[in-house]
Formats: sequence, C-alpha cells, structure tokens
Amino acid sequence: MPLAPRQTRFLITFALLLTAFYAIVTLDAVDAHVVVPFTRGLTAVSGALLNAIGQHVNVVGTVIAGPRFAVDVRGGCNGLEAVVFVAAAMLSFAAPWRTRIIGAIAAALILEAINVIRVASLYLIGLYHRSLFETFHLAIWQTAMFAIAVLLFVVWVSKFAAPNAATRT
Amino acid sequence: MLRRGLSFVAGAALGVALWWFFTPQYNRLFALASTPLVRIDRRLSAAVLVPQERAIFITSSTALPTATIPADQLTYNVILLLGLFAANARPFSVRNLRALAIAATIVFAFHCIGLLISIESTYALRQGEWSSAHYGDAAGHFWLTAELVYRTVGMFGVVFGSWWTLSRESQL
Repeated sequence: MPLAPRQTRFLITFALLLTAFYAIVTLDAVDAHVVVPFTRGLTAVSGALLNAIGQHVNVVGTVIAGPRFAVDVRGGCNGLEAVVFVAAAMLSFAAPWRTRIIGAIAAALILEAINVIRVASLYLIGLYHRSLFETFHLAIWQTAMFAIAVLLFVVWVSKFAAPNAATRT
Repeated sequence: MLRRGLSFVAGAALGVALWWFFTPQYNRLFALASTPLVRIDRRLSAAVLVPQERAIFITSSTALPTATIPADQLTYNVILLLGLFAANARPFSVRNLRALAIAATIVFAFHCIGLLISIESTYALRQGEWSSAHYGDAAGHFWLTAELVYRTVGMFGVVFGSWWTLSRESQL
C-alpha cells in the first residue's frame, strides 16, 4: 500500500509541527507566561460552571476545591495537547492558508469549550464515583479529546479544506 | 454522520473493554517484544522485563535497580484506534480490516518504542545516584522530553497518522 507523495508530505509535516508546537508549549517561559495563566482561567471557568449547577466549590489558582474533593488542573488537563494536535493537522493539510488558520482557531475554541466540561465532569466523577476517576482522567477523557480533535479535522477537511484545495489545483 | 459517530462510540467502547480486561495478557507480549529493544542500551543490557498485571516490572541479576513502569498508560491509544476504524465506511470490509491490522502493527511497534522511552526516562531521572552515575543532564532531559511528547501527543499522533494514511479518509 504505497503512500502518495501528498500523504507522505502531510504525515511528515504533521509529525514535525506536532513536535515543534508541543516543544514550544513546554518551554519554561511559555509555560510561565502563557500556559499557567491560561490554565488558571480555564480553572476559573470550570469552577463557575460547577457553581452554576449547584456545587459549592472554591477556585484557587489551578485548584477547584469542594467540601469532599478537589482537582488540580495541570498540564495535560488544559486541553492544549489536543489543540496542538489539531492545529498541526490542519496546518499540514494542503488547503489555502486562510482556511487552515481559521480552522485551527475555530477548532481550538471548540476544544477548550469541551475541556471546561471535561474538568467539571472529572470533578463530579471524583466526588461521586472516586473509583472511576483515574480511568476517566487518564484514558476516557484524554481519548475523547483527541477523538474530538480528529472529528473536527475530518469535518474541516470535508466541508472546507478539500473543496478549496480542489478548486485551487 | 450520526452513523459514523455511533460506530466510533461502539469501536471506542470495544477498545476500552480490550484495554481494561486484556492489558495483563497484552503486557506479556509487550514485554517480550520490547526486551531486545531495551537491551540495545548497554546500561540496560541485563534488564529483565516482567509483566505484572497492568505494569511491567524491571529487574536484573546485576546492580541495575528495579523499576515499575505503568505500561497500561502507554497503550490506551488502542481505544482511539478502534474507534476511528469503526467509524470508517463499511467497517467490516476486508479492506478496512486489513488496514486496521496494519495500523495495529504500527501502533504495537510504537508501544514498544514508548516503553523503551519510559524505561530510559525512569532510569535517567528516577533512580537517584544510579541515574547520576549513568546518565548526564542532557540525556536525562532528552528522555524526559521524549516521554512527555510520546505520552501526551505522540501516542495519539501515531494512531491518527496510521488511520489517516490507511483509510479512505485520506482520499479527500
């Protein structure tokens, strides 16, 4: 099953961009000035969502604490990995640059909105079904975030990127 | 789109079941296949990988310290793999099943590489004086970075790349 040059190019660019974007996100300066403040904001929104549905939680920094359970939102739980993933995929695809950039920004916003639900749901799972917390934290939600990222990419390719690529060529 | 969404959920659910219930059996094969890879590094040439339920225990008859690697945390990308191939058009066609088999082989190879990276990272950074004596700062940083990249984005990137390349989606 030989790969077409276009597929090979996509895969190589995707792997390089994924690694490069992730490396940037993990730089100390980026972490301190971008990732940590962003994660605090995400935590505040997730805490507000939990309070809106009747949970009584306090948010301090990246910690959401209730009377019986607390979660600390750290790297890996802020959704940035899935954002980096989908951005690398979209920017690697042969479509007009405007389409790629708009797609990546839209996908990032959608993923982060879903990540708020992820954090809130993990708090609730930890509170009410603690034995399931690690499985959901590690495997289920992490997989779901990347599955949603793939879904966004596929929808973007079929609705926006591929038609534009076809008309361009 | 709804059919594909439901198919994805069904495939992912199968993936969760396989990952949850068959990790101990998988770890036996996983440890066996990874051993030659790990022993390429002379510092780890006497390592013996022993599967223990969801983890892989590393022991040796030499002065190599023991370590436990949570191997199940390196393999749960099979959930995404099965979900994506289940969501393909005609998931039970020979073409799709053959593509899944090839992708699973690729993912298995990367599981072995992921285990190697985790073991190297563990021995480079988490074995106290033994780590300091056998690994430099640069090596420690390299293995830690490799472990982070694999466990956060790499393991899913491999699944996505395999699926995208081997299924009809890439014809778009």
